[in-house]
Amino acid sequence: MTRVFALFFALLGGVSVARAQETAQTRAVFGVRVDSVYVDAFVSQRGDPVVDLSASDFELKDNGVVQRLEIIASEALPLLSVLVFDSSGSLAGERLLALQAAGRAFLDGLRPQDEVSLFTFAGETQWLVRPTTDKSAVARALERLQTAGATSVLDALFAALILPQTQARTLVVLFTDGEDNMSWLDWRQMQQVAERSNALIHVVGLRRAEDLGFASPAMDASGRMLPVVGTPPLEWLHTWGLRQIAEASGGRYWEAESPARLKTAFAAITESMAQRYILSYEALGLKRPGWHEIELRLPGRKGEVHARRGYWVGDH
Amino acid sequence: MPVLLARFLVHSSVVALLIAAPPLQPEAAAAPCPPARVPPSPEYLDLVTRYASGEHAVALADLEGWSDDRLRCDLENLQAAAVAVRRCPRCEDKAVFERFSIRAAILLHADREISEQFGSPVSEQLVSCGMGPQAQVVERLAAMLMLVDPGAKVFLGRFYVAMTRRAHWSHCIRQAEQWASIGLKRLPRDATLLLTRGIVVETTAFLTLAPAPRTATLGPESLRQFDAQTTTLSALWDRARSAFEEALAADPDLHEARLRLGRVLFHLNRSKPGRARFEEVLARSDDPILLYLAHLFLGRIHEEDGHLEEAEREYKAALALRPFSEPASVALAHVRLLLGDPEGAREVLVSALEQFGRRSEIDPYKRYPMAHTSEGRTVLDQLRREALR
Repeated sequence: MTRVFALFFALLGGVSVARAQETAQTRAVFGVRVDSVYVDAFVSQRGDPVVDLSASDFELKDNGVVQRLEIIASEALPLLSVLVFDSSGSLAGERLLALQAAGRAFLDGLRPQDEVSLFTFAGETQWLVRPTTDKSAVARALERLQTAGATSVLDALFAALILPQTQARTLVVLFTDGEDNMSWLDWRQMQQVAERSNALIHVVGLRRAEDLGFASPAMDASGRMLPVVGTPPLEWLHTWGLRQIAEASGGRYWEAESPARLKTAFAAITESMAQRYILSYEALGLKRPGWHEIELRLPGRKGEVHARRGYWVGDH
Repeated sequence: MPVLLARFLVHSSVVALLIAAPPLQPEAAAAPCPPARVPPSPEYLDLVTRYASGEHAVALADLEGWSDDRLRCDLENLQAAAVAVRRCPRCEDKAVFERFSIRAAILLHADREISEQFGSPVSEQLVSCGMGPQAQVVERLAAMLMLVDPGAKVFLGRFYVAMTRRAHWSHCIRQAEQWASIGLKRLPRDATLLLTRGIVVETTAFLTLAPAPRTATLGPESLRQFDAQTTTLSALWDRARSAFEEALAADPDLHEARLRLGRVLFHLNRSKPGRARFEEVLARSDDPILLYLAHLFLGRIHEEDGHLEEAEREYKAALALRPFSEPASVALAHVRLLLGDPEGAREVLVSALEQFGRRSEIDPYKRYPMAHTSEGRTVLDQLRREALR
């Protein structure tokens, strides 16, 4: 697991050797070289997960070089779930109740050893719960959520990606019901940050009346994404940008059509975590700093692969 | 000049230009008003006098019972008197406006308009606003004030800015722009009003959803929507630019207009002139809020240009002006991440997040796009105090 974190550390923009060595003395989990690369992938066919694949079904190229893959059992890996929840004024009433219920259901789906952290955002970001295995602490914080203010989605996501420090596989679940109207960062900057972190990001959006007619693909009652029929409709930048960020990390944008569907979306995310493949390879000969493009495909099988498009190696 | 004679002169070309306000009711539906020897009616005079004496709530409640027709006759007679005073400043009609305060009447009807048309703002909730009949009354009174009061322009400039900001505060964005536009018809070179209108347009642009980038797979209807939305947005940013440029032309020391012009230019992908505006603000202004925002916005331009050290320097300067500011901390943390300093990024961000709930005021960057200030209420309160008799 040390190596997983080594990758995470490297992805956050890289560090100077001196700084890394100094940090390594105080925190043994830090490393300065990328030895192993872990790629968290989800495969689906017509909306259903494909769960019977072996390492040999995948072909992965790291900067064009084919790698020898192993599959790591996801059950063996600890998980940190970082919940990033909108608490802006538009959430008042039914939406907040639905979010709280969906959050509780998500917590119930976690294993005892899994950690969870909670951020909320409106005009400002609040780090309500630091990473803990005490799910009841998070549940209590959720119950106390109050809504007011504007929406700073991207700044909150930024904090959620860079602040929790962990060796665990990291899942970020971002929920918002509106467009960002207060963040300093824009979607391009956040996409870059998402690419440089090793967190898997899922975004859950709640469709609003004014979005109708400019809809993005919705999901059915079981959480499957409904395919787009005909030409895709026009999408708003804020939704599209969040989709780009999620997909850059290997995650997805889930759109709930109503507050009642939130629980379904959160349950689908929990379920999909057990249906993901954690591919590992030794990046021998590929340690050069900078962006590493990943191409992952299934040469002999049918299916859509959802995985991060690359990773970043720091300059050290 | 007798009132009756003056009424015949209302439609002379000079006066008609000054009285641009619409009638309270369509002329065809209105019964003729009996001429008043000394307008207004004792009841209306009493109403406005009580308001001018500080009995705001009582006067507002009384106004609720007034019919449009009753008010129309008082306004017509007052208007005739105002025209008479305009034509003959030393004649007997001037006594009308020594007893009757048009300024107080404007504020009374504006208050009524606010209570009828503007709601209390709740963030991110839909609001319902309008321009009601009281706004028309205000306009007729404003036209009269221009005829009889040499200080009318200063008063009305402040009044229209206040009404625009008050509507803006209630999230009545369209009405805010209408109030600014009405004011600018009377005072086209009022720099503060031009700035205020620009801010409203900037907010409108900010609230207008941007479409996702155009792709080859969009169908004809989606393409039409994309083009329409893109055109609307760029026109809004351009109108905001134009308003800020006009405001600066009217008053080169209006640094808020300079700062906002820089930001709008940034949105219009004209970073070079935008950067120059921010540098001018930093060189010329001593307002800490404008300086803070100028450092932030200038840092962003440096960052976009790939000059990360310069961006870091500007963000640090912004943070020095407002320690623990969340936007400045996010900006600094992000650029530190790009500079390969994740620990430095975390450090500054954790410090900012620890201040959650302890900040005494909303960050100017957070307030900037919606321009949500109570300034409109403050100025209206000042004007009411000044109108006290």
